[in-house]
Amino acid sequence: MPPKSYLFFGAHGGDLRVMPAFMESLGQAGVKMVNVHPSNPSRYGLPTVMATIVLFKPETGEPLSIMDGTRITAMRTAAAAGVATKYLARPDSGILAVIGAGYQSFYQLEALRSVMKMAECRVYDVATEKAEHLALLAEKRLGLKVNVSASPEEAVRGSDVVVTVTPSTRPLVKNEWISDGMHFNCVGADAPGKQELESDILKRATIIIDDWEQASHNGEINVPLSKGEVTRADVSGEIGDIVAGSLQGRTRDSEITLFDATGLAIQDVVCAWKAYETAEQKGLGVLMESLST
Amino acid sequence: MAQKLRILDSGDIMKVLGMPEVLDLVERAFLERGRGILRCPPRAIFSSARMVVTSE
Repeated sequence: MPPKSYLFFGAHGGDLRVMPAFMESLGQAGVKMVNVHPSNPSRYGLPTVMATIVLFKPETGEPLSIMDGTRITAMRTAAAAGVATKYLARPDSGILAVIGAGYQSFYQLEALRSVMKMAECRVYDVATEKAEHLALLAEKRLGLKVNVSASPEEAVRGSDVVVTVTPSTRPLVKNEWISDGMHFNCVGADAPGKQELESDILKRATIIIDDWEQASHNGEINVPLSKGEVTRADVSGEIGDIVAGSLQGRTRDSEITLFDATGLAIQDVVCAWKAYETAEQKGLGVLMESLST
Repeated sequence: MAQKLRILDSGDIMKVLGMPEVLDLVERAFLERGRGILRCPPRAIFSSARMVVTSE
């Protein structure tokens, strides 16, 4: 799986990412194409992120399926944070803080309630009405009570798990708000120049990434790395190593853990493949001739 | 003989994938990756272990 490639649409404030993956052990191959245009909702009434996934038969290379990848992207992004929380957060973690109340944040709530004994859930967004909308949606669809915080500090202080899901290029979460034992899922930073946490937090934390090439160029660590505030030696390893048992996750309750999620193409392909197989069994979708012979 | 191409829209995806299943699939994807090449060089892991001890 090569790292994702970017096409930057500078004048339009967006980009297009191409993410191929072949999982030989599972016999699955595919490519996701996904844009990120933060101004889409306000300018054009379109989502920020829109994705398409194409699956290929590894034996022949023939295309098997073209599918909407937007929902899969949302779910698999949140699921990555869910898996990281399962392996890295304290087992008694009960207070969740979500910074940012966009489309992805709903899926974060859905994934994290599956892996936490949720006692309290807080959400903050610079646009309070977005946070209020998310709270309503969470109560209606997930039966989850969400409290809207007046500031990021109010949301973060005293929480056990913090999820940052914003497009920010300046740190929103300050080191002075952080207590020992917290776990962070840094989801928003996914392009060069983005950063949601003060670098001092990274210096205190055990940093786990999903992929070095992607995280070092586009993840939460990209800015601190470029400034020399953290180095590669400060990165403990990959989430895959922890799930596979070759690297220990949390080692003690007081440890601060941080998962820098940039999103892997393999996450998209395994989910898309499952969707394809189930759709085939159920006869869903539209069939078309794909090749001229 | 070529297979037909199956086109799935967001409604189809909603019918076939839920969050519990996606959590399992993503965990499996990470597991498969972790079982493969260790991407993080041993030096980084060693440095991390040393950092943990120092901070205690």
